[in-house]
Amino acid sequence: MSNKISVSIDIELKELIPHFLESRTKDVINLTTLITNGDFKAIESIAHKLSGNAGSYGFMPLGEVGKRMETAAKAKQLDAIKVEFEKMKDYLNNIEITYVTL
Amino acid sequence: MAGTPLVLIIDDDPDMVLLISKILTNMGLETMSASKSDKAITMLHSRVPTIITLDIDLAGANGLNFLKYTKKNKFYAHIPVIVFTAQTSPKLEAKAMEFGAFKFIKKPLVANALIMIAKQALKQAESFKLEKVFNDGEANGIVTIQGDVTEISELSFTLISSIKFSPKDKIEVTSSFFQKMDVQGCSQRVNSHLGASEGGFKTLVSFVGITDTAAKQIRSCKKKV
Repeated sequence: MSNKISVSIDIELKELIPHFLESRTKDVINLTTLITNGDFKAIESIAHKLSGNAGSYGFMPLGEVGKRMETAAKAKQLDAIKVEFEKMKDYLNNIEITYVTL
Repeated sequence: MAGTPLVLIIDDDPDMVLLISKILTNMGLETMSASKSDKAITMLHSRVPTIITLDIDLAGANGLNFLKYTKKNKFYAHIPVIVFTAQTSPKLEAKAMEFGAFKFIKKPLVANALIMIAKQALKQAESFKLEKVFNDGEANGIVTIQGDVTEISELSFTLISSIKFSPKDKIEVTSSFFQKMDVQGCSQRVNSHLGASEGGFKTLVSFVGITDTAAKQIRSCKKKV
């Protein structure tokens, strides 16, 4: 899927967004290794944070991905984790941010 | 605490700390943060915040433990603690409220909701002032709070407040009624804790060295405070 995903973010948070997206890029790098190693606890930890922070910044679908990944990690379901991981990467690669006054 | 209200943000997710800090500093508040409960406790000892935001999901159940710690400590029990979680657990929410959380907010955080709750917390915190002095690792503090004085006699009175006093605490209650009865200059001593009641904790406080005149005035007073 390579369609652009439009996201409206509160303009008050504009200066925080680059750092947030940088952190998510690091998450992707870490998750690549963790998934290869089957480290469910560490995957759960990253996913849990994602489920809380993504939606808080305005990236709701990404937060939902985090929630599902966390559930899958708790259940040690590697295939389900991989599905959510692909969704995470796709989302981050295709978002187009518009800053709005909320 | 004079000056800008201070918020202690306790969260092990740096992105959440940045976000919460941004929202609160935009409100004109000052913030400090800790990612672990033991560091948060150290920060509490050095600078008492006006309000606390706490990620209840800190590793090792440390979020709830920190909440219990603050609520059991009379120097910090008055600080409103706004609790955050990414979990959907009614049991956890009930536990947090049981341990004395001010409000419970589920992530994802909505900025306007945090602003509204922070304003409510600031209002509650308004009546408290706390100065901390450390002496050889032991916490000593002067707390100024509001309370109600009831059931006064020439020997003692009952104080209802948000603090559970113990007999080793020094206390000085000021009130316009005490001034009228001419007992304001009289020493007071915490006698005993009488249990919890609606509005807070009941403490029996004794007058020490009350004058005959003041005792007579109180005896002749026909109404309770």
